[in-house]
Amino acid sequence: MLLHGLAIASIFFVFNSGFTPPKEVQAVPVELVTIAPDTNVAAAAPPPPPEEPPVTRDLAPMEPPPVPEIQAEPAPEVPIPKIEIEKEKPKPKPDTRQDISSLLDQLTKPQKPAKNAPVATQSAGLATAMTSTLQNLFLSQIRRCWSPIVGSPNPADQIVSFDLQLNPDGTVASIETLTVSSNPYTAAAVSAATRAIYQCSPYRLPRESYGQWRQWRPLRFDPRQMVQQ
Amino acid sequence: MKKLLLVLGFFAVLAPLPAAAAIAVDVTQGNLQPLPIAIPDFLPAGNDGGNAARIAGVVRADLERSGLFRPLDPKSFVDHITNINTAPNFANWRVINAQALVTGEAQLQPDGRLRVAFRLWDVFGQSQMDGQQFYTQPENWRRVAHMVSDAIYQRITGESGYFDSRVVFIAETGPAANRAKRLAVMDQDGADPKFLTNGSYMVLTPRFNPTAQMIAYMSYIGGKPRVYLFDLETGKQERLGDFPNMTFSPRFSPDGNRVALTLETNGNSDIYIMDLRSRGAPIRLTSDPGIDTAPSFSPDGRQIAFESDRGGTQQLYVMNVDGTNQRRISFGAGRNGTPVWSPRGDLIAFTRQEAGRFDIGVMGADGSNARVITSGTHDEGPTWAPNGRVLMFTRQGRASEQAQIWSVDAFGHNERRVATPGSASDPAWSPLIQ
Repeated sequence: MLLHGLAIASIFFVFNSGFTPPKEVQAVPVELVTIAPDTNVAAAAPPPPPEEPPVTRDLAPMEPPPVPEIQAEPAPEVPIPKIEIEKEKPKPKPDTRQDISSLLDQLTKPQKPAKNAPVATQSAGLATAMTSTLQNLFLSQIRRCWSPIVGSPNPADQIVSFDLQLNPDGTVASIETLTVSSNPYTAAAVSAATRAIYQCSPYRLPRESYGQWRQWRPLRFDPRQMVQQ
Repeated sequence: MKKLLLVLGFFAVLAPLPAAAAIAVDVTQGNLQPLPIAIPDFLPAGNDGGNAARIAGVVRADLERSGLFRPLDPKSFVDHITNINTAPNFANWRVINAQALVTGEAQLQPDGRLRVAFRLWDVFGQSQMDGQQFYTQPENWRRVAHMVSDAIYQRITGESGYFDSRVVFIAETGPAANRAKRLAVMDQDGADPKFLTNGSYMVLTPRFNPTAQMIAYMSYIGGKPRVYLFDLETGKQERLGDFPNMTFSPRFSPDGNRVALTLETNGNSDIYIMDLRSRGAPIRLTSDPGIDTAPSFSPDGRQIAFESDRGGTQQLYVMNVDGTNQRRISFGAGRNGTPVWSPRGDLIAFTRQEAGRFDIGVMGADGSNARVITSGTHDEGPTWAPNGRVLMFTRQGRASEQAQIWSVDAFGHNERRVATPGSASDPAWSPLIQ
């Protein structure tokens, strides 16, 4: 009996003196793992499917809700930068960054044919000059709105063309995409160019020559020169 | 007769110009700017578990960080989305110059899952560009947000996204003389970091396999540097091969069935390839007396880029996957190392050492058009995002400064620091999570 009592007392003494509660330590999200002593590398086969996939995804796009027809905007909604009217008309330059006013000025001022040129050539030359000026006028506006995503593996995939019809007030009458492709880069390029066409509308073009600029075809967007920018 | 000709000529000049034909025009220059995009908080459809607003926040942050988008401040919105199943009032979004609009909603389902739906709208074209919905466990809300970001990114840019991916890296703690290096993994945006090892042994050069479920890395367990594999699903680690000398610089093949690594024998380092299916002896690919290391597979698995000092200085080389046709692709001043083949296959990223600087560069896969794309003084160890458009790398200033992980796009734009829990180095980007 005495021995039993001593044994119990000694156990009580040992436990009380040797065990202290562990210190509080800040837990860190560390997962301890063991290293296998031998190499037993399994092939990197696809992992077994988890019991419950973390994400299921409905790949079918949702039905788009009805979208109202696109109507020509009667009033400009895109702010157009203030244009300084130059006192002296600059000479036509190949630089296509001419301001819109000077380009408009060229178109509204009567054109004089070259003195000694044949009649037919004079007429064709005037048409060519007008087309060139209209092109520059249009480009000076659309460039500010076009921001394609450059850097695709094949930049040619991002070249897209349209048939653009304009209203007399410069708003968009219709856009027909001439580039048909299932390539995602092409689809993105079509979207970027379409956004630019709408964003820049209405276009500032001389109303009196509407017959000349009512249709742009092909209106071609080619970002290859912009890759290194 | 002369008068008649003059009269005819006069009327010919006054006659209208030729009938208007369509004008052809080529637009070859634009105004490269991040796309203004409006992403209102997603709508809480009934009980959303608090996920609706924070999902939109992650999407905004993802797209902004890419450098290709400019999410507009929600305070600038003049309209509020009340129903994602009706067309928005596009004029109200054009007013603030939003070119794209994302509407979405989140809702807890009766079965406890979270449903997240979104629609991407072309504001000026007034059309829906994309619309998808996701079902998941609520704790996966951040992954769903990244998947929404990927879908938007892909539709707008044409290339696959990279937001639903992770990065394994080396987390460093402690003084420089006795710094603990732990294997860690986080989302690509720095969220949800986790340590995988406890820091009792040094780890280096982690690399994901193609399923993002396994990591190969070098560790000094037992004092000898060797390559190990870490299974993220099971947490199990195993040594890759039983070699008497050190092995390092592992890299998985694109199909995940092989690992290229460097094996040191009698002071000579060469590149070997191991087949993980047959578990056979590694096959030696290089046998040059110089140091051949840092192998990186081309995406089609047919070629391997590596670094070697066989020509006198550390330079980049390419060989066929069987070791034939070894050829140098980097030339010029400085030393070039740590080649990493882009997932797109068109570029190889590398570290250039020149005049005391370490820079990240990219070159064509044939070595053409090499250029530096980072601006630090000590940038090294590039790794590609899954879409091959963005890279991460380690940046360190002075030796006393903390190592940091930074990102930059392949054109050298949009340099940014990646948020990490303390000092971090040696990032390796995973493929998109499957």
